Amino acid sequence: MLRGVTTAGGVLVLALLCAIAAFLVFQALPALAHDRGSFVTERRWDPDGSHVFGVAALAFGTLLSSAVALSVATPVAIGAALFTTQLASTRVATVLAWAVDLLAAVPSVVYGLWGYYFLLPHLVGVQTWLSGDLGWIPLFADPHGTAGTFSKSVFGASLVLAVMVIPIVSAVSREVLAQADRGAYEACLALGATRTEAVWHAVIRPGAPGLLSAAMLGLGRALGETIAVAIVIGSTFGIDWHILTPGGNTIAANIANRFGDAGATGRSALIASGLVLFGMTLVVNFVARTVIARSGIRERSAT
Amino acid sequence: MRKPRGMWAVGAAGASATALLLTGCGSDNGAAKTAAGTTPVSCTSGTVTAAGSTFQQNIEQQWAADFATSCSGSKVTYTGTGSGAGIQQFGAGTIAFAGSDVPMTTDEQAAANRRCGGSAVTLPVTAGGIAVIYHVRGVSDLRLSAKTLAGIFQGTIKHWNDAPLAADNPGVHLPSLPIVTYHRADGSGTTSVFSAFETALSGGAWHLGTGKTLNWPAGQGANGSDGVVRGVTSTNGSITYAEASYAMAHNLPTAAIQNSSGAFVKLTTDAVQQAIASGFTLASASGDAAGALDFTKMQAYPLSTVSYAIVCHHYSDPTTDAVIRAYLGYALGSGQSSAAALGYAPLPATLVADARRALSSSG
Repeated sequence: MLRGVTTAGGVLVLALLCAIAAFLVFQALPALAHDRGSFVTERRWDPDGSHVFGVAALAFGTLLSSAVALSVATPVAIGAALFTTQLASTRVATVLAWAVDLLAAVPSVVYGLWGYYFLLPHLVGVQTWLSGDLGWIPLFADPHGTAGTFSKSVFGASLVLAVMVIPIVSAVSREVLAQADRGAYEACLALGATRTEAVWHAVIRPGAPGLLSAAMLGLGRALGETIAVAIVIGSTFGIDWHILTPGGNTIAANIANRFGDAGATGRSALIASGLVLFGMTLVVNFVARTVIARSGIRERSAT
Repeated sequence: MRKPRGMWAVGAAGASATALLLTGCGSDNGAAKTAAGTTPVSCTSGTVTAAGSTFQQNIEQQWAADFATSCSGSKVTYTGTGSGAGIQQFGAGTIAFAGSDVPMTTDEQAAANRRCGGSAVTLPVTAGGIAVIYHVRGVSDLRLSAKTLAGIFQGTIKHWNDAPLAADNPGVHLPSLPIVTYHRADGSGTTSVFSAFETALSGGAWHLGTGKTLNWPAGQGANGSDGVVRGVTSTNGSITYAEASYAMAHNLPTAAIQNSSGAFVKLTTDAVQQAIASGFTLASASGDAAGALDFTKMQAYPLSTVSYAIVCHHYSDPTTDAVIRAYLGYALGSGQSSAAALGYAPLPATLVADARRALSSSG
């Protein structure tokens, strides 16, 4: 009986995944057949008019915004997890853990509205400083001189994404770091290591695969985040490394913005871009699992 | 820990009492302005949902409120989703009628006809001007030619004090701020009319073509007229295009646009009325009351357009049929007098007659 139920559960999950993939492929085919441009390299998005559309700009924006979001969120989240498990007193740790979990419960659309009405206006100062003092880094350069104004840019969207990703990465990191061997930590201290060295060698290094998987989970959420990004990003179709320039778009945000007025080819094209996003997430998950598996084996063989 | 149970009971009673009081208030349309001078409206009770152009959203919502006060029991709900989305939803049968700033394409008409099980009729319900809304601290009387507008929205003119802007505005001190443009990211009839105007009057400077969505090389997008105008209110040095009522609602200045005879004209109700009278022609005399805009012929304010309602020739549901006829009868009748106060223009009498004819020849 137990075996039947659990097998059924496993089979159902697999069947669901196959059904979704099949749906995406079959619905996307009509648009791909009609595309007058190259789906992979074309930046424009006009499936209902001139039938020229492609995911180049969308995929670029998705990857760029997720990368920036993750680079901001991961240190903060892992730092919070470290603080909660290693350094804080029990009461502070409980409150902090509860606060981080509460952040995860906030709906995405609320993040989007908060981002647009609160964060974006207050980012103007940060944007000016970044483009001024750090403008020599190509990412923060400001060729159009718009950094000092309110703008819906990849930078703003990445920060909103970072805030949304922090709870997930922090929660999983907390679980991973809580499993650290207390004995090894105290042994390091006994051998004369500083607190930082002990934390690094006894807590972070053994937990690294788990922390990486936490980051990958966060990346998965950042790649697929729809409504918050749709509200905050500039909805343009260009490939621009300058994250402070107004504009930018992601696959998920484009689907949210364009689904209402899409005709038959338009809908099919949006589903095709969804298929690309699905593939991207699969690849990220696969790479993460491989890295974790390899490092796990190396750890075991080292001891 | 002693819980004051008495307090909980009082709190719960208070909350439920307040809730009962609030439901008792019900749907009070006391806040709506009633149009002056009413023609008798044939009333039926029923609810009808509509969606589409954000251009006509403000007047549709005013009409819906006024219609509900004069006809208790019937309710029309109009949601601004963009002309493109409105036409799609109408074709899919999820809304009763759509609002659009542009007539349907052949594919869209075919889908609409299929949905109606007969033919879908396009009739004008209001006219208005597309305002070029800007927010530049210290500048309140901007003049723009179609060519300069083309440069601004295509990103070739990057600062407010660039030469073409200075040429359009002699003697006005313009700051050296970068220009931030907001365009419509969704399928917009307003974009369609704006791009058609640019194609006609920019003398070849406009390269983006005409359509509800364009391949904008610069600027940032927002959804809906309210989205782009909200962006402009937050950004110093920004500019966008949207129906005039949005500028009024947000207290933002609008630019005077140069028409084909070279004059820079400010957006007023009279200017729009003159433009529609001189620049709008019906496309076909039978059935439909859709038409074409000729910007080169428009006198006064050249960025003017009519906005349409797309309805079925005959609805299978008699309640929907009756409510829509009553509502549109009101809109084309005393509803036209609400236009000026909201930033729209009443349709010319001949056009109202054409629209009524298209409406009555159905059913």
